[in-house]
Amino acid sequence: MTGASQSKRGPEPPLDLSVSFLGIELENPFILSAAPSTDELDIACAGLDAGWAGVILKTTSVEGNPVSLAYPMMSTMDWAGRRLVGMGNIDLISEHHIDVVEKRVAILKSEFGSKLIAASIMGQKQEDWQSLVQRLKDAGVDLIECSFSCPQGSMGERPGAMLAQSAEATEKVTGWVKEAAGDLPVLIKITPQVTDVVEIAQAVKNGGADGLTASNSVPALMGVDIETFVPAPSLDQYSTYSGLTGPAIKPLTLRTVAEIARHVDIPISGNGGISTWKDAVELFSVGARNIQICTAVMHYGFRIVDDLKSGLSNYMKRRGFGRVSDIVGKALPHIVDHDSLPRRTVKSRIKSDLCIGCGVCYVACRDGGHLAISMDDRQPVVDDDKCVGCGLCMLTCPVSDCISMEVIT
Amino acid sequence: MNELLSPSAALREAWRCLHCWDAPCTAACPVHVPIPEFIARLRADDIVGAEELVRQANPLISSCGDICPDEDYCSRACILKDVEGSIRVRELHGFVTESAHAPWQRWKPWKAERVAVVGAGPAGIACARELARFGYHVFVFEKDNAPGGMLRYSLAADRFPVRILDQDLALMQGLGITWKTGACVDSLKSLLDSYDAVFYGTGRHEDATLGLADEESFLFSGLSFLRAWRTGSGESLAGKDVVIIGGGNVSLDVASTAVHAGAESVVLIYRRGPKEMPVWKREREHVEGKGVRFEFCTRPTGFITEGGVLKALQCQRTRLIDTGKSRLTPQDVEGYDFLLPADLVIGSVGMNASKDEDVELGWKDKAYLPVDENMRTKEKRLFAGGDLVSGEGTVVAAQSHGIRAARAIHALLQEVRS
Repeated sequence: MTGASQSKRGPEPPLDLSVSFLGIELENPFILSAAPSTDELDIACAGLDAGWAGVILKTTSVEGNPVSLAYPMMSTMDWAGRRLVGMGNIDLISEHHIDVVEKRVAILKSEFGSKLIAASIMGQKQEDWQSLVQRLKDAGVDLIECSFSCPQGSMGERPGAMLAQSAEATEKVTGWVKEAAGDLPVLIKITPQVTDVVEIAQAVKNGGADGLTASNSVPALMGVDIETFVPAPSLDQYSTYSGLTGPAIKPLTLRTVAEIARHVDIPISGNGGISTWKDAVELFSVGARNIQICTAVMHYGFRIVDDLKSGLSNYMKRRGFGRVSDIVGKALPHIVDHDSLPRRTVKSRIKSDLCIGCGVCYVACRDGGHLAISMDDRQPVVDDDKCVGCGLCMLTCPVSDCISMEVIT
Repeated sequence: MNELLSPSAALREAWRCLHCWDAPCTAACPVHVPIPEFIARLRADDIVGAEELVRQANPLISSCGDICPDEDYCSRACILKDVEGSIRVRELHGFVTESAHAPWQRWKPWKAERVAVVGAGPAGIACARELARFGYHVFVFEKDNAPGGMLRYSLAADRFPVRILDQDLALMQGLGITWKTGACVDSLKSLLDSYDAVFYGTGRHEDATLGLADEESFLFSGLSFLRAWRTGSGESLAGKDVVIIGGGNVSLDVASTAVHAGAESVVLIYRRGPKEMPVWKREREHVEGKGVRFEFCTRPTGFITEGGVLKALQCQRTRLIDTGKSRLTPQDVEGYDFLLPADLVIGSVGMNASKDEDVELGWKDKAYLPVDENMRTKEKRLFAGGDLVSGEGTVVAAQSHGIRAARAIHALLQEVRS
């Protein structure tokens, strides 16, 4: 195709990235999660203007549920000279109670009619939950998300516990919410911090919810100042556990979503540790139908949605996927229990033309593997008799595609 | 003087290191600084531990962190050189030594033997430190008033501030070395009579001559010029056109100092081309950036004077011919001669050793003092190093000689004892 004919036809139409979720049409699969970025009206508007498909307003509650924040609330997990590989937060739910949030829902609905306008709620008594649902429904909200999993504070069933750590409580409260919501779609946001996430997901389904959000930040102690022995974040001489988010928790989210998708038939909104379009594709492939993001926005701003859309479009064009939903669940058939994995012989194969001779694989195999690699004049040589095929050499090699594992039998 | 890396930049750079199994960088370093190991400590935020690794191997740690031509040593050997660019080892070294300073302490009981070190340049300093660590009584004889040699007296001030050298020397104070400065050694023979072993590292202090007519009247010595400016007695060159006849790194220091001295113009001539010039790229770029003009393929042929006053340097253009030698040979381009206006001409084409020892060392016509792989001369108890024995001309290479000699002296004295 020549450049001239291309320009006559104009640029290619943008790929359709829309997804349908619980009967709601989203222009793209990227939603701002219930978090700091959606706690102020102006900021939420800016996010929608930037191209996000929707917002879930930060979790609100009734007046009887006072919110007392402690500052500073955030901390970083650094690695290899990089900041915020993981982010910790001791934030609580929004300080804005339902009377503020219901007004915002109405404003956002009138200004951004085509976007998803959702709200997140948290309550204690049945009447709290149900009145929150009723008021938001009256305000015109598109969807309600229930936080059963805020790991900070102590607003669950018992102090320090989360609702979604009890299957019984999860099913009961889901039932209350859905009773009040009627046709209005309800998502339950769960925690990965349970013994069996499938049991909780089943309870969400049994309780009648339309879908669930998997998952949330992970309870963590972000670090300790080894001079003062005060953990982070330090508030005078005191600290507490944080909710860990960011790239560090992506593998946990992938596992949580995959595990639910494999065992419970319920729509999933994916959340936790997604920063790039590649992360998003991975999360779609294990069963998420859309992606909620917060930490990456807190770090790099709303503008990342352009990169998410661009990367996803280019990937879909290259792979011939017509709709985002075509990617959903693609990885699931490939996930089996360990017992069902194929047993065969693999051996390390090192491409000598790509090898730079650093010997990192040699040291790894020597001290953390099976003494199967020796160095011959700056070239690693694999001893097939000793190589068990663990793959450590491949992981430590700094050169892409230099080491692979060959299937022998 | 080099810009320091910020802590975050140093950390990111440190994390690029692959920690190669056999560390080609360490092998390429004359004193074998354990580079991946110190970088690993740096990235684990153990700066004290990192500095300790560097200083065990490298006595003049801060000095080397500032001026070591890593492009000729560790960085050239870095496996990432052609992959994504070498690790900036010298800058990481500089970061470590700037952040942590641990003074040396004598940790062994003193031994009975006494060792003399002649010349307190980098070779002698390194030898003395290593011998002191073995527990010997070390006496360093230095004809100048302070130790440091070329580092103190022959580098441009903006390239290497003396305070960095003094910082290194201060750390050695606890080692119990006896520094005898302002002390000329006339006789190696008598030293050998009084001491159990001698290290000889007096360097090269005589500017090579050019063989031009009236050279003794109109050619100023590059080393004298540098020394004058290093010791605070340099005269202003305001309004003067200066021509430097040079080639090596010392001539760059001369050029840089001439600019600093206020010269109206500074031209550096060299008989071969820019590629052949045996200087460190970083230093040449630095000097060019200060406004020094380079005239390559140019050789001096005579001084033009008026009433006994220098007016210009007569020059001859050369072209480079491949005569099958390792280096291209400059040959005159007939009829292409020209004048460079000059109020001062400074010669800096190389340095010679004085070769006037009272011990037969086998110099004959050799440019370098012959030594074996342990830096031992023909004389059993006399060892030598630094610029006397090699043309490498770097602080780190000189230190490696001193350290190697110290270990050989230790072995010799242990042998004598048993």
